[in-house]
Amino acid sequence: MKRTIILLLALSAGYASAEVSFERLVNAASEPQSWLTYSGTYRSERFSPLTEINRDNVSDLKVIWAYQMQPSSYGGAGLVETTPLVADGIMYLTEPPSTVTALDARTGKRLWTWSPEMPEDVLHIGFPKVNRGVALLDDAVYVGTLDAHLVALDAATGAVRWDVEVADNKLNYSLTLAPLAIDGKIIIGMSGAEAGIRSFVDAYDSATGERLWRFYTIPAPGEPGSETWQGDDWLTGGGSTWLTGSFDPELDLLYWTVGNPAPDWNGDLRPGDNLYSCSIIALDPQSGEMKWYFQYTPHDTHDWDANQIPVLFDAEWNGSERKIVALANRNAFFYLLDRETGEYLHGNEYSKQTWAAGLDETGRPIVLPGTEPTEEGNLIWPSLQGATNWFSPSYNPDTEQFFVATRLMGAVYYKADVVYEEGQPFLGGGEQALSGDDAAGAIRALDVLTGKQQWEFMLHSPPWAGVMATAGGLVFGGSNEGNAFALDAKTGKALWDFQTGGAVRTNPMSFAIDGNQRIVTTGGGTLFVFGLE
Amino acid sequence: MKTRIIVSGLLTFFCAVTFAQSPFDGLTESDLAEGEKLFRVHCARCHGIDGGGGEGSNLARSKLKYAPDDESLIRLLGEGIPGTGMPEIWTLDVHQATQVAAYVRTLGQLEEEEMPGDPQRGALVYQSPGGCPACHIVSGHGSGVGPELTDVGDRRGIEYLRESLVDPANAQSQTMGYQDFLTVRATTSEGQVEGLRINEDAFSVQIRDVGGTVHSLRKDDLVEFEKVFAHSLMPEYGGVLTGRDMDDLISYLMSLRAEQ
Repeated sequence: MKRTIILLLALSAGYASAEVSFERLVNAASEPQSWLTYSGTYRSERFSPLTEINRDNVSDLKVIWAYQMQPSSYGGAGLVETTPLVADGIMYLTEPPSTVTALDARTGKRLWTWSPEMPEDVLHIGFPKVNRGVALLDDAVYVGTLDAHLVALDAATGAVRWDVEVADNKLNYSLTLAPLAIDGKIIIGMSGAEAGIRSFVDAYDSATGERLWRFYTIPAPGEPGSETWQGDDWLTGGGSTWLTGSFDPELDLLYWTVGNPAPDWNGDLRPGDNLYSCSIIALDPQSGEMKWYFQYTPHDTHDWDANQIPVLFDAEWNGSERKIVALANRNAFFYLLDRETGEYLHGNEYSKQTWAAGLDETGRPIVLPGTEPTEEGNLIWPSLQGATNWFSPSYNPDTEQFFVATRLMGAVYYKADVVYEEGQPFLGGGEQALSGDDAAGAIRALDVLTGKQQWEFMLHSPPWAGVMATAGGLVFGGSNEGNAFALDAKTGKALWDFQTGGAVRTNPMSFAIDGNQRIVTTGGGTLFVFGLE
Repeated sequence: MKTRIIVSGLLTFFCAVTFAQSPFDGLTESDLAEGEKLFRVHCARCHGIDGGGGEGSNLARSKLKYAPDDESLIRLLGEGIPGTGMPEIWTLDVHQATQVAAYVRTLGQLEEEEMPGDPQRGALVYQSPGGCPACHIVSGHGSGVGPELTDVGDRRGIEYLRESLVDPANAQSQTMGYQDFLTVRATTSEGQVEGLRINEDAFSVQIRDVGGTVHSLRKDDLVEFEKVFAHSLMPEYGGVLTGRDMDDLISYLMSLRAEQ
């Protein structure tokens, strides 16, 4: 009865539920009042064209409403890393570990919530209990659960439409990413390489939940790339796909990033380049066929997966117009590739690293001797969490600036023996991170075509929160110490900050309601929505 | 070898208590050996190779402050202890955390660590004129310039406390975390403040000076901000206290525990 009343109130405010067609998703940039997909648009710019909040007035930003996540779902149940989506006046977010909640975007009042039954012994070896958000398509909401189910919910009520088990969580297969919705398909990737899964990218029919195709990121014997593995190593080869990819509707290509090979730190147990670990792959969304790949870190032994957001942009390059994919990698290098062909265009160091002399003309790292993990320990930059990590970068297409939250931290890497056992950590070593005031963080602005740093804003500790640029000339971000802040995109100078009271571990997003721009971030287990009025 | 004997002894202990449900039911000697191995990788850096404590607390006790029962000990390995230096150890699965917890409980079967001196006499050393309460609080008494010591015996080990008294700057340089006590100097247009960093983020810093005054400063207002590493405002007591006084004082500090 209560739910009915709330829905009636919602109706009286002029909306019932979201109806997000594929066309709306393709043209997401043209409706900046919404935030329809994880990174804002298929190009994954995480850029808001809204200008109401800008350099001149951002210092007046105030909390409009806040939403406290359910006590049962915060704390012991996991960490808040969600990017909410907003469509047609409703905000859809996830709460850890795998709860979906719909809120009135005007007031923060809850419309419905859905929680899956979660086994007490759910495996999540290698990552905290997190969920990074939902996908919207037509009148449904799609979520991946920690125990590796993909679930479709009715956007109006939260009722379950379908629920499929993607893979066996007893082997550590898990879903933490926000799915990507394209034309009639829901695309997902897996977490779990720290227990030696063999990962893949899957496409599901959005109406029925039927699996349409699967692309394994670790090739089987005889398949292209299998020559970079020996014996049965591929069976436990890892290559997780745990971050939402990007999509080019014109080229009809999906861009998905692939994680580290398993075991993480003992490369002796898996000789070879270990394709397609630590790579970006371009997939045909109709068939799942791979069109090209580029491996950033061949034979990785530091857990520098490539699970960062691939940002799509077009620019003139050496006299001709190119479609480009940019990625600031965990391995401390910034890369530009031609996204039609996978051709390497450019790479440069954007954060301190001590493992490579640079990149050769094909983009392959020139690895320095003596930089592998050892039994005694070996101090290398960056730390295993990398120069950046899952949290999103942002790209302002008007100023051609690429913003990235950077972790300035080294680690002592250890190598150890390990034998694969089902559902057990398959790591082969570990790290001891440099800590205290030897480590720090920074928001950095790069010229997207040269990768050169324009400015940096220092953070007290290595961050776990992403950034969002806006057409108002701002870059929003957050810190472990609870600061939500806005920087001047031209200079990096802080123009506004707010103490949320809890660590910020999310990517900011923006929307508008009743004509007023809103900025969204979290602190601890609370979601904050800021505005001018 | 000593540990092995204790482990075997504890197995007997486990086997003898077969009626009560315990998360350790069914564990074998090889589980405990595995737990010890994992302990050395994940825990020994802070808690000492024998669990006797250091920067982290002494675990060789029958009762642990944050783990009143075995289930909570297993749980805190996975979740960490908020507000302390104890992180969540995400690389352990539940079975491994159980193995580590079982091993940690074997440490609690050891005889209590022998104190180097007399804690009662150490209390007098602590209270001596111009002594520790001038900067530290115990059970509500004293001055809060430095860290509160009410339960320091739960959090630190003997050798770490000795280092803190003899060479406080070096002891401090061994600690982890961005919010640990660190000497900082902040210069504003009105002058300089030197003291202990209570807290810091990207925009502000809170400093307690030696007089106990708390200064909350916006970083925008600072002309200069210096972090003074390998330095402590705490005096060095190695040359001040006799060997016996030092041993007694350490014994007193180790007796300061929230859970007796």
